[in-house]
Amino acid sequence: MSVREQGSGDGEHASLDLPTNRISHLLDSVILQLGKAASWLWLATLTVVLTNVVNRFILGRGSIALEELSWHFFGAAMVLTLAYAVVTNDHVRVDVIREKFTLRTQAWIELLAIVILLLPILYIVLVELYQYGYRSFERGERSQAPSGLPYRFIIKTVIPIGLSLVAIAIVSRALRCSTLLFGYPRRFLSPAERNQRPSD
Amino acid sequence: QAQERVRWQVPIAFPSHLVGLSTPVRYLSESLDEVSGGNINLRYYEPGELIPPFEILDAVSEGRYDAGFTWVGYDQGSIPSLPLFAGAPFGMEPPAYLAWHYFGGGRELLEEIYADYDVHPLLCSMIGPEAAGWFAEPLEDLDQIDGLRIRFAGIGGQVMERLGASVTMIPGGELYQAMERGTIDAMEFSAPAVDRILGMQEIVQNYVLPGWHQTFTTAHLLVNKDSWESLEPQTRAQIDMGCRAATLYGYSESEMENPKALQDFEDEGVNAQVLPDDILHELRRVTNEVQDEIAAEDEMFGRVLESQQDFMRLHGNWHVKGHLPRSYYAPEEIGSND
Amino acid sequence: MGLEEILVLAMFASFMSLLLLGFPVAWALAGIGFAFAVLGHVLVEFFDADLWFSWGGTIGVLDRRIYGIVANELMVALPLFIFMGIMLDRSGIAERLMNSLVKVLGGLRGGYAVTVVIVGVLLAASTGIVGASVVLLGMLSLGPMMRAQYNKSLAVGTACSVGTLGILVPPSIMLVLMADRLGTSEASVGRLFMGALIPGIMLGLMYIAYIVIAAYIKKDLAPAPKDREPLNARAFVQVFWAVLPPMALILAVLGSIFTGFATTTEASAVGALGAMLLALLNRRLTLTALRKALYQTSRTTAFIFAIFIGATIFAAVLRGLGGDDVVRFALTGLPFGETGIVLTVLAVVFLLGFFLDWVEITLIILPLVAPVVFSLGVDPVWFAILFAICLQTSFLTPPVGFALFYIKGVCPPGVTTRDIYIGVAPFVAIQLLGLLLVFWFSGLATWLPGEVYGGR
Ligand code: NA
Ligand code: NA
Repeated sequence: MSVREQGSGDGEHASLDLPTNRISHLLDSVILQLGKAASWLWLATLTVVLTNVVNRFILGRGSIALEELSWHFFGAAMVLTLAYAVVTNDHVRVDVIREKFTLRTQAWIELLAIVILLLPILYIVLVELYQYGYRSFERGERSQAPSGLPYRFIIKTVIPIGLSLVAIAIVSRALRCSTLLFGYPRRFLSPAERNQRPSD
Repeated sequence: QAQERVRWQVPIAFPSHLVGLSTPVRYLSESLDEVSGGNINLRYYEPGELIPPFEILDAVSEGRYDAGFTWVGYDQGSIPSLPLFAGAPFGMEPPAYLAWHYFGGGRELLEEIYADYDVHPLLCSMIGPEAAGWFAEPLEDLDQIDGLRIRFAGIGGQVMERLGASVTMIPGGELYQAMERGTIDAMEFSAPAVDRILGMQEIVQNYVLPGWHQTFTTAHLLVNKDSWESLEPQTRAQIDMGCRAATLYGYSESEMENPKALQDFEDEGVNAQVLPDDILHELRRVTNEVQDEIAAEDEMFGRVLESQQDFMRLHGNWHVKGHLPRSYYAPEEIGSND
Repeated sequence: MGLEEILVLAMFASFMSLLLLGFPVAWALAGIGFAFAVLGHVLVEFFDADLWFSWGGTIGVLDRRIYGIVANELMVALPLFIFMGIMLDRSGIAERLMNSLVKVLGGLRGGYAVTVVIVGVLLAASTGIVGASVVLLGMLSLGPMMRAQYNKSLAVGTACSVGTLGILVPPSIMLVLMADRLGTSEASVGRLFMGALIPGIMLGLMYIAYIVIAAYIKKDLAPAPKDREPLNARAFVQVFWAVLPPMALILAVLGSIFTGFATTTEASAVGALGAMLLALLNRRLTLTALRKALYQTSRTTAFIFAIFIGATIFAAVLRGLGGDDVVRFALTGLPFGETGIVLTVLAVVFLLGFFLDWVEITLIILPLVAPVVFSLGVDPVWFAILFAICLQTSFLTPPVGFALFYIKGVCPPGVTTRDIYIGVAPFVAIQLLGLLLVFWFSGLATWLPGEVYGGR
């Protein structure tokens, strides 16, 4: 198999290191589906850039609007898949000491840090970002370039939507820590997992 | 009685060493510190240090910072009339602009525009004309513009677009690479002393003059309205005076440095090309078309343009009759008896 | 020690602790940023502390800073290069390419790693996006190197270190920003580009020398290919046909950027399209394969940008608490001569590089030290290139070494952070050696710009 595939198989299932529960399972599935859907935006980005290449080199004329569209698609894809990588547990960790901890200790650290540090800052930034997008809408902000794109508020609103998904994915992760530590919410084995572990 | 203590974080839109564009904010910060006995601290932050440079208006408007220092034309995406205050094509020359700003209703119009944003604007620097850009080939004919990819700010950019160019707004820091790699075919950035720092003369040789697209360039200190109104009258007066002095500083410094830089360019073999009258005439015709169209869409743009042009008619009469013709200023004429 | 120093040190220390506890890098950056913003706010509001910190000016502008990350045309190339790498990898083309190139090197021990360095230098001369270079090199080469029984650390360390050359070898956005901030025509972008060329290639050669020597001394580090056949005409033709299509693609992409024919973004898109076509020719381009490649692109891009977002939060708060002042005080009024000051500045940059990324360091330090250093009559190009080598090294130094994070994101499951740290250690040493060489032989940096643009 190729190199990059980590713990979670092929990204088809949530990572297996923490037990899941019904709520987390539901949230994770929704985010996985959204993340996969948003992944097609890369193809859109590619198409837009290629169209611009054709315009520039064959028709001899680039388009500022298309150029801006390429980073709009790129930004949307990037922001809307951030949560996907949370669910597949792709975010990079330093495991020098971590590997010596038991899974329970790891779960404690993760739960506390999420609740005390991560969710508050996400909440604060989200409030700011939604207002920022709304102001852009109110003022009818458009590109500085004369023939650039109008409606800057769209991309400015996609950012908080993507980070809201991150917040949901992180809550789901916290719940899974709680399932491991306190048995609440109750553990839930997805059909796939049940098949994978006949001995359980 | 002791003066109040003021500590403002001031993001700026250009690196702080650009002659006339941003050196005035350095001067402002230092002179306010001295004149207030250390009580007024305006600490400026390089672009990108606190926020991206194009985000200054929004950040000041929302009160994140008490003030910011910027070229207001960057906000033409939200406020179409701002380029007329930042540097207008076929606009006033600097002395006339100062007259219009302080005594001809310009300041009041700008304050009215920014009132919606809870921002109090202070004119805080001014320089003379910019150069009309770097081109790979001498500009003999406006048809050459058609199909060019060009970096051109403000209303001049719209004129270029009308002439068939694709106009982008690459930030200053990336211009050299874009030009060297041929990502863009031509560009304007600023006046000679600033353009020299970009090092463009190493890759392009044609420097087009005069600066038809920006006959003057200003920078403003945008102050959050609540921050401004909460100041004691004494502090307000000091900052206002500081900005007037900074404007004089920027203007005089740039009028010293720009001629030197142009001379250096020419000594290094740069072709400083002065556009002929027929091209300028055509550029003015297109500029008028573009401006009329913007005025039809944006009421405030129309008001500002009308106010500026009314004053230019009044001032032009004096300027043409009262001042010596430009030919007397040609270097070879200085001191000669003919 | 003043309040600002204490806060800054505490911030670094708590960040390191959280990181070592195994919390994801991006989240730790954001979380510690938040904790210290609260601390700063409490100190200012309730204890009247003498700080410039303001909640609105740090936390209140994160929306704009995050938007600045998204609205960045230069970054569009990153996911497209990643997609290209995934396509080449998944269709088996990358592996065939690597195997064939190694055949050309014959029985040389460490042949794969040397190939990686050569491809990496070509990549560096074409683009300057370290994330893309490291991820691309990692994806193309780690699999083949592991299967050839290479030592894990050597494999990872090579791909990771070579990937960082992109930020030093022109074109380089870092040199562009440095020239902008130095603000003197004596250190224009063109001069810095020329100045970095020789040191960049020199570092690449030093990497190769290290690999060849180490592989020779320690036989199991990077064994020569076992099934080695003599390179007769037939084998050569075979190699040629295996190498031709992907090599042509890579050279076309790199060449078009290098000559200025296409922008990096345009070339990355053409490269991505070309990789899809090659996969199609190899009958590996199914809808499932495309889907999986897109998903993988998302997961890889997401972890990189999550770190960008976390880092911008951390940096905003660090600056808000006076982090730049701390450095400023440390650097002003140094009681040394010219050499002492330059060395001190470089040492500070190297140390800051453990924690901060190059943009932050450039913005904080360069405007501060440049006037001081130049007033001593130091050559601006020489100084800038030394500075740049330090910044490049910062990608490799833990705990915040972005190249380390990138490579971790694409490593095979068996590779731990420890393996990565061990793997890059020799390369960090090589960087320092390269730095010293440029320090001693300033001509390495100043000769070429002088030839091209004339003396200053
Ligand atoms: Na490069
Ligand atoms: Na580092």
